[in-house]
Order: sequence, then structure tokens, then C-alpha cells
Amino acid sequence: MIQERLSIINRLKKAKATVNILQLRDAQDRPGGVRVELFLPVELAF
Amino acid sequence: MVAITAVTVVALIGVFVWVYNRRKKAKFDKDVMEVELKALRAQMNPHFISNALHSINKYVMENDRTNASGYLAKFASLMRLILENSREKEVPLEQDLHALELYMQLELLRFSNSFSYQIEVDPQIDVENTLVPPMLLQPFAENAILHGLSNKGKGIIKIQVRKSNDMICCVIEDNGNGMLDGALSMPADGKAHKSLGKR
Repeated sequence: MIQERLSIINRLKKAKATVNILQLRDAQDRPGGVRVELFLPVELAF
Repeated sequence: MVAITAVTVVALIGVFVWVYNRRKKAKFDKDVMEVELKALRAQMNPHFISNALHSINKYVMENDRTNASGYLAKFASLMRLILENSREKEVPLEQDLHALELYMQLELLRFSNSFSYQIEVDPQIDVENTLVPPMLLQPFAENAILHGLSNKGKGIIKIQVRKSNDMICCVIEDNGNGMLDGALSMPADGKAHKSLGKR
């Protein structure tokens, strides 16, 4: 659903909103969490 | 001469009709996309609502009036915000973060403080006047809580909002066991690619 929303937002605003989901790993290369990076276009209210 | 004038007039009418139809179609497409967006915004996680009601019920059954009341008050505030936000294409970042904070507090109560969270916002960002699409962060926060809870120790969820060139970058990170099938990066164009990060 998020993917769909971002895709529509991008088409409407000609923007490049993206989401990256990264598997984090510790020094021993074991899974150590998840990092999500969501890039959104900046819009100001004025 | 008359023929040339007639052809020119017909051509001009043709161009006018073509431009008019094109604009009409563009407006129609835009309207359709906005309706689709509105429908998607309105689909706020029914299982979250169900979970919240179960938690309130649990407090009621245990006769824990203080927690039941506190939970219900937060839940009501969050529901009001969600309803307000779902009507808007964009909301001030401050308002969206307030909804996220309420959501995190509710989940913290629901999971008996078995995780902790922090929300950091770059002071360079004018949170009152920066507009963002509402409720985009919440599903990722929900996943982070689930991942964070899979940690053997205490789950930690970090949410950061910072500026990145002409974009806003929202980072949601947990210290759980992560995804079993490795890392996945999903840009909004729908093309997925693998990506790795080091702690």
C-alpha cells in the first residue's frame, strides 16, 4: 500500500519519493536489525 | 484564398479540440489518482485498531482503570488525528510526527514497555511549515516494533527525520533479527534490488 501511495505521489507531483529497506548486520555478519529510509519531496506551507 | 482560410480555421479548431481533450484527460487522470490516494489514506491499518481495542478490553477485564483510561484517551486522540489526516493530501510534519508519537506510546503500553523508542528531528527542519503525505511512517514503525520485539534483549527503535538535499529523509531503524531473506530495497517505481547495511 505504501508502494502504491508513493507511486501515485510521484506521478502527481513529478517527484522522486523512494523507500529503501536495508538489512543491518553486525561485525560477525549476523542480522542486526532493519533500517528503512524514506525519502520524501519537501513541500512548504508558504 | 477562401479555401486556405477555411483549411486554417478547421486546423485551428482541430488543434483547439485536441488541446482541450488532452487537458480534460490530464485533469481526469489527476482526479482519479487523488481519489486513489484518498482511498489508500483511509485504509489505516484495521488490525492496529483491533489490537488497540483488545488492549483496552484487557485493562477493563483486569479492572485496571488507570491504564484503560490512559490508553483510551491516547487511542481517541490518535483516531481523531488519523481521521483528520486521511482527508488531507499533505499535513504539517509536526502533526504527522505527533500521530506517530501517539502510536508508539500506545504500542509501548500494549507491549508492556518491552521496547524503547526515540524520535529525533533535525532542528533545521521547520516542522510546522513542512508538509508531508500523512501516515507514511506508521507502517514502517509498526514493522520496526515487530522486528525490535524479536530481539533477545530490549527492542530499540530509532526514528530520525533529517534534510537530504531537497528531500526529507525519514529513517526508521530497529535492533531486531531483521528480515530472513536478506535486505531489500524497494524504490517507488516498483523495481526491487538487494542492498546491505552495516551496523
